[in-house]
Amino acid sequence: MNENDDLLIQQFLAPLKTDEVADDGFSLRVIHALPNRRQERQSRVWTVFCLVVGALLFLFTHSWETLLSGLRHFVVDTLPQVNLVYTAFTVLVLLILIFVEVIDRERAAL
Amino acid sequence: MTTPSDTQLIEQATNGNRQAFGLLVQRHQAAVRRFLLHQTLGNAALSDDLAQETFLKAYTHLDQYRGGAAFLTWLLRIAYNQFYDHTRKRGRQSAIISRDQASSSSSSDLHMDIYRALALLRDEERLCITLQLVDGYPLADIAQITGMPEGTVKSHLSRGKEKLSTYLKQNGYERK
Repeated sequence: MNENDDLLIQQFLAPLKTDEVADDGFSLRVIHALPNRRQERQSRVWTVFCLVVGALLFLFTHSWETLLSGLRHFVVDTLPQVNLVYTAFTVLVLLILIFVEVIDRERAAL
Repeated sequence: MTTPSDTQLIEQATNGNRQAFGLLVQRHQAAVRRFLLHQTLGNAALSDDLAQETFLKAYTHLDQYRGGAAFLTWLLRIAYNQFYDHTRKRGRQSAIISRDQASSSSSSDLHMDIYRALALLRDEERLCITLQLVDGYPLADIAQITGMPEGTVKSHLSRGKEKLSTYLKQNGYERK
């Protein structure tokens, strides 16, 4: 690469420098598509409200007893019959996939 | 009446002022769309879609803008990530030059030649080349937009220029 090569490339790309991009209603389309912050806040409040109601129902209806009994059944009766090597491998693959997805989402956040 | 600065508009937009954000969009849309147009090798429809996603993401993450870099640099970083995600999801697309653009202006043949040459470069090389030689950004800004160390940017620039130079010589541009 020498100065002539640099100059040649700059001359070749020069037409792109003068490209004008007219708005043509683009800004208006973006503004119309903007999310409504008030609605977002309301939706977040509803989510928290529903989660709290769900948790209270879970506690007051003693659903945790059913959950515990199911877990006990799984650990005592089912787990000993499962091939542990395959299970460990599956769990490992799942963890790797989740890890990759989390890293990817964090990078894509901005 | 003085024109409000980006910082003033960002502050108002963060407090829910959509009009302030609209002014920011109007101010920076050309640069963002032009940047994406070059990365998509002249695909106007795709670059507009990605530009819209860029501004929507910027709006929802506006409180994360720290003001360390220029607002446009921050926008271009989001735009690059949008483009990167798109190409990763769709796989490497062949260079698509939209027909409407090819026939809309007298310089369309020249643009097609340029995009054909840029299509020979890897995404990162094209990104660094267009940011430096078309948009005129200094090395430090390119590093900020791409998230690459300056040394890596220099390598991409060098390899990209080498490829373009070879292509231009092989296609007789040296004699023109």
